[in-house]
Amino acid sequence: MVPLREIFALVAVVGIVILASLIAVSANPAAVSKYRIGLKVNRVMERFRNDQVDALLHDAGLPIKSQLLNYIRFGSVAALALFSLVARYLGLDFNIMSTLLTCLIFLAISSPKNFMPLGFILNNAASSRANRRSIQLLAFMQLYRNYRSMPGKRVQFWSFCMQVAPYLPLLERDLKGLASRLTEDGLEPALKWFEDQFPEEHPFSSELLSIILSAERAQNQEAVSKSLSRQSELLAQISSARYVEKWKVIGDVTSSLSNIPPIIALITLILLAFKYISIVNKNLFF
Amino acid sequence: MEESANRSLLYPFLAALLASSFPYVILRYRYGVARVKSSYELLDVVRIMAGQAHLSVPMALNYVTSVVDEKSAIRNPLRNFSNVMINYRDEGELEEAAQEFARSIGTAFSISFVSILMQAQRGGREGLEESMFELESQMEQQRMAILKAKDANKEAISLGTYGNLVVYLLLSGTMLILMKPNIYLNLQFRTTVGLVGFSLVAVLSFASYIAAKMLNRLSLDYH
Repeated sequence: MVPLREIFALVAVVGIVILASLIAVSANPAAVSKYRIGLKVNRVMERFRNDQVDALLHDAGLPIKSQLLNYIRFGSVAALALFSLVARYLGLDFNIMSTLLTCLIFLAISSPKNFMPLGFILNNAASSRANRRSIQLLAFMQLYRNYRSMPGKRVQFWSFCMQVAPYLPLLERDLKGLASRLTEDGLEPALKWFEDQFPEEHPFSSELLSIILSAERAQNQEAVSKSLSRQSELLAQISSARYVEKWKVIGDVTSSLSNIPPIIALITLILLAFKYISIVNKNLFF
Repeated sequence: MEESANRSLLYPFLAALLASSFPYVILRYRYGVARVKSSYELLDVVRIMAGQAHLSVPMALNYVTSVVDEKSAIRNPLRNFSNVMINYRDEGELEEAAQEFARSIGTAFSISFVSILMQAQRGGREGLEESMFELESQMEQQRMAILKAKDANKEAISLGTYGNLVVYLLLSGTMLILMKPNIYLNLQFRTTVGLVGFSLVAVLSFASYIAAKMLNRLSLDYH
C-alpha cells in the first residue's frame, strides 16, 4: 500500500532525528538550547492578535476578540488542508490546485480589511452603532434638561447619571464611569474623561459637555433653563441636518439603482429580437 | 454517481433553507413596521398625557391606555407599563417595566417620556405638564425634519416601488403585441439570453423595491 509506505518512512525519519539530537545533547549538555525547537506557544498566539481589528470589532459591538476571529479563519483553512491531505492518502479525489485556491480565496474574503466583505459589514455595524450612541447622547441631553428645570430640590448630578444609566444601554458604562469620577475627581476632570470616550470628529459631544459644565456652575435657574432649551434645540438641529444629508445621499443611490432595471429590460428585449432574427435566418433556405 | 447524487441534494437543501427562513423574515418585517408605527403613535400618547396631568400618574396612564386605538402598535407596551404602574410592589419592578417600555419603542423620545413619568411618580407632579408639552414640541420638530427629508427623496421612493414594474410591463407588453405572444414567450423563457435578462430584471427591481421601502420607513427619532 503506497500511502502507508510513505507514512512509515516519515515516522522513521522523525525517529532518527530524535535519536540524533538525543545523542548530540548527551555529548554536550551545555548546548541544549541550540537543539531545542522551543515552540513558544504564547508568542505564536500573540501573532494572531491585531489591535486594529480589535478596535473595529469593539466599535461594531461584537463581543469577540480579534484573536478568536483569526483562530477561526486560519483554523478552518488548516482543517480544509488537513482533510484534503487525508483524502490524498486515502486515494480519494484530490486536486491540489483547487484546494490551494479555495484556501487562499477563503482567507482573502474573510479578512477584516476595509474593502473586503467582512470589513465592509463590520464598518457599517460600527458606524450605525456610533450613530445610535449619538442618539442616546441627545436623549441624555433632554433628560438633563428635564432634570435641571425641575422645580424644588434635585438629586445630585452624579446620582442623576446613575439613575439615567439603565435607560441608555449604549452609554451605560460611560455614564457609570462619569458618576464615579464625579465623586472622586470633581466636575471638570470627570467631564473631560467623558468627552474622551467619544471619537474626535463627533459633532456635538464637546458642546454638550461645555453646556453641562456651565449649567452645573451657574446660579440663576431661569437663565440656565432658558439657555438649556436653546442649546438643545441647536443640538437637535445639528443632528437633523446631518441626517437629512445622509438620507439624501441614500436617496440618490437608490434612485440610480432603480434606474438600472428598465435599461436592462430594454437591452434584453433588443437581444431577444436579434435572437429571433438569427433563429429565423438559420431556418430559411435561400 | 456520487457526484450527481451530491449535486442533486444541494439545490433542495438550499431551497429548504430559503423556504424555512420565510416566516422569520416576514416576522422581522412586521416587527420593524410595528416599531416605526409605534414611534409616531407616541406623539399622540404624549399629547393625551399632557392633558391629563391633573390626575395621578398611574390613573393618567390608565386613561391613556383606554383611549388609545385598538389596533395601534403602541397599545400592548403601554398596557403592560400601566398595569405594572398601578399595582407594583417595589421600585425595582417599576424601573424594569419602564425600561422595557422604553426599549420596546426604542426611540430617544420614549426614553424621555418614561423618565419624565418616573420622576413625576417619585417626586411629585409639579413639572409634569410642562415637561410633557416640552417633549411634544421636540417631537413635532423632529417630525417636521423627517417630513422634509422624505420630501427630498420622493422621486427615488416612487421610482423604486412601482416605477420599475410599470416600465417592465409596458415594455414586455409592447413586445408581446408586436410579435405573436407564443413566439415572445418562447424567446423569453426558453433561450439563455431571455432567461438571464428576465432574472436580472426581476432580482434588481426587487432589490430596488426593498431599498425604496426602507427609505420610506423612518421612525420618529433623532437618527
